[in-house]
Amino acid sequence: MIRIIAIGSPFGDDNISFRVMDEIKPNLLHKYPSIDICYLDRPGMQLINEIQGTTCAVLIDAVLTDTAPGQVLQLEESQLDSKNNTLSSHDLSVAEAIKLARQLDVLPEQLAIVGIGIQLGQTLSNDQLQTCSKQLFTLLEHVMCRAHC
Amino acid sequence: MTEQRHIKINVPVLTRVEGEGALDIEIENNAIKHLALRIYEPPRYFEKFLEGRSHLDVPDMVARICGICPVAYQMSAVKAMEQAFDFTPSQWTLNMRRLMYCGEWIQSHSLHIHLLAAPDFLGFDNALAMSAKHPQIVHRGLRLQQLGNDIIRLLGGRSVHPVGVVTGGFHKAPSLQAAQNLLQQLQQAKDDCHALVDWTCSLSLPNNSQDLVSVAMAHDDEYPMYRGRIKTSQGLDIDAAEFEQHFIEHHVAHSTALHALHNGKPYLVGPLARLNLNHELIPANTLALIKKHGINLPSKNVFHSIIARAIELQIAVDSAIHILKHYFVSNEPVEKVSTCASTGFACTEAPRGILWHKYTTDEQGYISYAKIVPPTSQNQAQMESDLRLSIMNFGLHKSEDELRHFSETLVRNYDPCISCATHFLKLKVTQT
Repeated sequence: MIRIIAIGSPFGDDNISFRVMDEIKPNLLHKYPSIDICYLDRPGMQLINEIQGTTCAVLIDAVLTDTAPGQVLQLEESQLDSKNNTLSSHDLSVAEAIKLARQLDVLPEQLAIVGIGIQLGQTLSNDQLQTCSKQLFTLLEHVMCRAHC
Repeated sequence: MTEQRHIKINVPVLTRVEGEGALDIEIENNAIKHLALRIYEPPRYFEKFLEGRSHLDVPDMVARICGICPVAYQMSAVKAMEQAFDFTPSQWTLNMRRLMYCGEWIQSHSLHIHLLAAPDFLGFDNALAMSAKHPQIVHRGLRLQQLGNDIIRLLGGRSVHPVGVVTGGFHKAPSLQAAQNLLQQLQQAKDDCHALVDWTCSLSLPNNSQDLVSVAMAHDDEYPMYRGRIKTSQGLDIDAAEFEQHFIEHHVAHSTALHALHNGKPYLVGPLARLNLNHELIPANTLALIKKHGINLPSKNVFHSIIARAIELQIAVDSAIHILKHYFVSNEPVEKVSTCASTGFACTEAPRGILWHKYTTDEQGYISYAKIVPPTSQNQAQMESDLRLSIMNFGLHKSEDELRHFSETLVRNYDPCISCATHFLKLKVTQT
């Protein structure tokens, strides 16, 4: 099973992955009807349960960058900041969840991490959102291709 | 000649916590000179936010207070407002509210047991390190957490900050098929629950037995979650409306979080307090199991809280199974509530202890006054008192590392929101 997970919050700058997923979801499901798409509001440990059992998981989350807001970046696990490494149940980061999932040997064969650049307080314009959505769709097409979907 | 020793354990900011806190301990010449669990939660103004809002908005707003126990806030809120409106919910609604609460207890307790507390007792820095040697423990925690989340999602639409609760009932009744699927999952979890109780009883837990005042709800018919009166181990038995007469909140200089005292003294709320006051209601086979491990109830050892959580998790699973076995799809999941100008009070049992709400409403059901007393603030004074006593008993001659680890373990053992960051202490030592 292939699962695409938009991670964020319904509110504030952290809602970018939700907004972009809303834009591309109809076309994605039309082109890849067998994939599963879900939205997770700051999932913490729940993320492990959501990726467990999949063959391919794509995590899409907002990242703070100095580059233009809306830029789509495919990230390596090593690029994620997990310096706190506290494994709190209340606030487990994506990086920590991935680490723990790896330790528990429940990571899918293919894991893609996608960041969407944001700058705090700068909401994406509609044009930026459309551009970002197209970039993400293209990137996901490549991921689907690798996953033989 | 006695060695002169001066130790300062100072943590200016506890990071990654719900609210902000710090711990200061100063030991001088084999005596605790200063101890303060400083909680400086940023003002969140939730009670003021609620003023002027409709009773219909309140459940979704208070759910935002906590990401781990939003259901508890919703339950105390609707219960208090319905009391204000002199509305009695249907038995179906009461059952569903207990079911949803079961979900929250299961997810909250499983996470605390497996991720926060277990590494302390098994000698690991954190759950990640522990998972290398004991992956089955973390797997079990994840399975149970998922189960709890699934229950909350069934009734609340989502597991974090659910939205299904409303005065008068629930926005929607789950389908029979969804309820049956969940029932099947719960039945499959029974072995995990039994093993969990057995395992927590087998842990090597410190003994910090002390005189405790346990405060919890109690109900003749069921282990308390949603229903019941407030009782203490000293014999107090009151309705939620009388809470303010017996439990006094006050400011302390080192914390913006209110401390609470009963008869001028700290008191314990949470799983162990509940178990101490309701142990007659736990299943006989569970009682036999813990007795086999030499654990008797009521317990004065606060480190038995992890066992209490495991027992409560089992109770929650059993209770959820019972409710779902008799589930039917209500034609009227939400009933009409007639609003009036009034004041209502309610207390329910959040995973961390009693959660008390008070609301004053106008005739249209708009909130003019709200007061919320969460369990974490009620345990603040008890935690400080426990730290003083337990560190003394542990031995002030111990190394700074040992003292720090013991203090961290003790604070985490209470599962306060402030300890949601594990291993939060950075030790600053001054020796003279």
